[in-house]
Amino acid sequence: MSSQGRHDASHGEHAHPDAREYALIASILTIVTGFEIALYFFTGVGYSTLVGMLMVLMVVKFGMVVGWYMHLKFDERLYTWIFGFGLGVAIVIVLSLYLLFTVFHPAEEVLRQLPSGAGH
Amino acid sequence: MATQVTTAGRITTTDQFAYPKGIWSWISTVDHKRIGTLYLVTSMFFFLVGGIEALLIRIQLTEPESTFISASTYNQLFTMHGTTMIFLVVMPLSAAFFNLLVPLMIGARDVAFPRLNAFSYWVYLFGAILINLGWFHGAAPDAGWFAYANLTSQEYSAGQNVDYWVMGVQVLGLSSLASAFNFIVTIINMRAPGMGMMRLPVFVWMTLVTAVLIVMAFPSLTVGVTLLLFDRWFDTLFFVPEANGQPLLWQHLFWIFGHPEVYILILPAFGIVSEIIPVFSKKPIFGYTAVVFAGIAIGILGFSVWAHHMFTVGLGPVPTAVFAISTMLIALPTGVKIFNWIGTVWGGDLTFTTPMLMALGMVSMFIIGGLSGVMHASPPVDSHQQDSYFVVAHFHYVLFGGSLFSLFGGIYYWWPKFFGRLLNDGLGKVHFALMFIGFNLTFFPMHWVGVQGMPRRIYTYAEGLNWDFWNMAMTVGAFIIALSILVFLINAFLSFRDEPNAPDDPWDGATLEWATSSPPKPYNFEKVPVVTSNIPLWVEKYPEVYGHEPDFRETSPDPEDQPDVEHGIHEHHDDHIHMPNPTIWPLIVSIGITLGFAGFLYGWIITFIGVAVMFLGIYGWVLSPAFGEPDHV
Amino acid sequence: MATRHEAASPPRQNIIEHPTATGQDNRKLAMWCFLASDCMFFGSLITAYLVSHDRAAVPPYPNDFFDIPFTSVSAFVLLMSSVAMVLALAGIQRGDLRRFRIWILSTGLLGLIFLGGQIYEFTEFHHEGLRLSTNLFGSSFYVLTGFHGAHVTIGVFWLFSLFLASFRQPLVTKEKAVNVEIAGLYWHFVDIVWIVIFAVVYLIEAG
Repeated sequence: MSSQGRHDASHGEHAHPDAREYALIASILTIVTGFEIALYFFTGVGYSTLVGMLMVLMVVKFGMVVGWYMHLKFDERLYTWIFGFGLGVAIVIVLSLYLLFTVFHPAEEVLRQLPSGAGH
Repeated sequence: MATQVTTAGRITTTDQFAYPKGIWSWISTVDHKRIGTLYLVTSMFFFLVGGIEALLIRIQLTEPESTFISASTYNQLFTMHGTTMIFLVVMPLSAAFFNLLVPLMIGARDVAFPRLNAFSYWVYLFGAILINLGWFHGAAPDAGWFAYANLTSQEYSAGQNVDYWVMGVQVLGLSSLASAFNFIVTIINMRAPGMGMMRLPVFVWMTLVTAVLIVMAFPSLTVGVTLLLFDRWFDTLFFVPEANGQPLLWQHLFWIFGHPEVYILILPAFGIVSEIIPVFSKKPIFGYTAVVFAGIAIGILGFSVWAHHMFTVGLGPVPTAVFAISTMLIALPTGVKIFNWIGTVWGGDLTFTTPMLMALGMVSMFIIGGLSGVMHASPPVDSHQQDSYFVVAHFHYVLFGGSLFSLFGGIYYWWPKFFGRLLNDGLGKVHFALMFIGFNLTFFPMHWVGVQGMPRRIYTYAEGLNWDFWNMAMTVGAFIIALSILVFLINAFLSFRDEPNAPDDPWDGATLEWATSSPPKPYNFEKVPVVTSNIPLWVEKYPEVYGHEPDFRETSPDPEDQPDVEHGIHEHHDDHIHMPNPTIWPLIVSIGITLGFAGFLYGWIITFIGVAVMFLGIYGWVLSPAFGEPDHV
Repeated sequence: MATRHEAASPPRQNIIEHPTATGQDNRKLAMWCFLASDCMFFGSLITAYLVSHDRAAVPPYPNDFFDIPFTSVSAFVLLMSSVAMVLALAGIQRGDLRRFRIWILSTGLLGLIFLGGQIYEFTEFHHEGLRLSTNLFGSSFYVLTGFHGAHVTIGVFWLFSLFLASFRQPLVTKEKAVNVEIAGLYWHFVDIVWIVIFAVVYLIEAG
């Protein structure tokens, strides 16, 4: 039985954001993306710093789309728990496997000898 | 005055409402009780198929160097036995119980998405057929239920065997996922008023944890199997060592699914015994909160142990140690549950009906399986046990001794509720005794021959290794199991010769399903109950023991109403029941999806047809109304 | 809180208002659960990519290929499609069918442009010698981005279907705005997956 739920419950006490607020978020996202691309062109930045900064920017964009466009910041906490749980488990699995195949992989010596220069 | 009911455009009343009859009513059903029955019957059929596969394996292993079955057929038999028992028997049998019980136990009229529910069943049936079609081409899947790369590559598995497995598993995965989403939403969102989460029957909690495990674990399997499909069909190189591909990636992706999968197989069984044991001990479950939280802990920890299936691949000392510790840790919440069941039985007023015997059998057999499991958790010990019959003993003790005994217990316990007839308890005890003896005779000796080095998955063994006697004993045990199943089938058949006149509550149950008729009406409850405890029926029947609470049958479903203690009856708001419409769109979409995958095996034209049928079916489904009069769109 | 009596008045098709235990709509709850699950799906795919992409035994290698400016425009297009989606939802929630139609069509078109960009990129790479079977980089790159593209394609079908459905009352209405909301959640999810892929696959690789 597909149930509607309360009409007013879907946004809690938060009124529908107006077009201006959306435009603001869109502008911030554009600027962040621009910055990400600019980083790519800065050859002076060290590799680890580059990766670190890109990861931070990526997380910021991710968070903004999830929080505002997907409305998670304003909706029932239940949804944050559900999505957070899925995202959390996925991140842990990705990191674990990444570690298991790089830091802990016994064949790492072999990787370093590949012509592509892979396995940095 | 009877309540008005609307269904498929007809308006009638509860006292005139008749259950629809005929094949078409079953094909188009969206009723959770009918869908549960379909799952039950289909899974019992595949249980017989898997059982015959097991008997053939046992006959082949009765003596050394037997030529009863060839090596390649043997590989197909053990692969299909495992695949069948896991995906076509235990999971769907659990789904049968989810379907039959969860809406009733939470006081709902049906699940959140009845049509999706029907879809889950049909896609299971077609997936089960697809994966078994390989037998008819002499090409049943033959690389083990876990299909390790790169044995499964184009190079080493050039026939269609692995393709049947790949396509079948993808289709079956959709069934489990759809069902899991449905039950998560149902349990969170469709509970009767007053049914807080901590008043849910333990079975419902275990269903919820199982469903969460399914939706988190199956995607990993889907990805792994997709990469395998691409390697086999589109020449990708994920698992091809010559191109630096990594067979180990398959193992990780598979076991990230595979370990939670075993908890998916056992948690519903834990739920069932948690319902049966209290009723036949006449005591509520000991430590309800602990049992629930232990189930949740098992679910979460279940994601942290997968590489214990890979202790012998050379992960390195640090990962191996980490996974060994997490595996030992998971024994803790499991132990908590076992102590809670023992605590329930302790000091209880016990009745040893068949369901109770099955439940107690489950607990004891599971303890044995758990002990061998803890042994596996130690990597040095496991390096000796890996790939030997010791492992086969372990998982049969937990899956057969654990899951199957419990599921049979559930069948005996809830049979009167859903079919309106009782199974004969005397025959049930014969079934139990034979199955218990046969099971232990078959699987206990596997611990010994395993430690002595008998390898898994090999079609024969040499003479003079001293394994002959026990293998013969195991085969005898297997046939005793078969005999016990025959007794059960006779019992089931005989029960249908009776009229459906079982009482509503033959066992003096505690939970809401016993407050309905046997079988329940299609709409489940005439009035939606309002719940004030996790043992609502015992509270109603034994107020001197459990305290006086408002009668859940009489209280208004509108929580703003105050119970009128004097009269006990209120103005009810649900004077109109809406039933979801029967429909065949879920069936059509299932056919489309199955044909889409089958085309890989039988020709691309079939895939095109399948995809077209699927799209047609989806639009038909979305555009037709779920309730009320069929609209003209 | 809605009671069953109130169910009698709105358009009778599909929606019967029953109170839910959380007060939230079943379909919205289901979509969030699905997205949590899809995180695991993409997580596994990204893992496969991360552990495979730099192990190619033979050329060509990533640095030879990526056209970051082009892909950046593509990423921007998808980001803007999320903005359009949000405006489409706002439209239907106010009952403004015209606004809804304009913005949902825009979202779908931007999605199509993104897909066009992907197809162009794949064709270019293909001509330059990178295929699924060329080496592990090819396998892992195409499979990861391909499955993302498949998700976008499904989304585009969904969006255009909603657009068409809005012409046939009572399929897309203010009361049933949740149907658009869940399409929006799916669409934004596809966008955030791209945010991750863009950073991990393109920018970090090529830096």
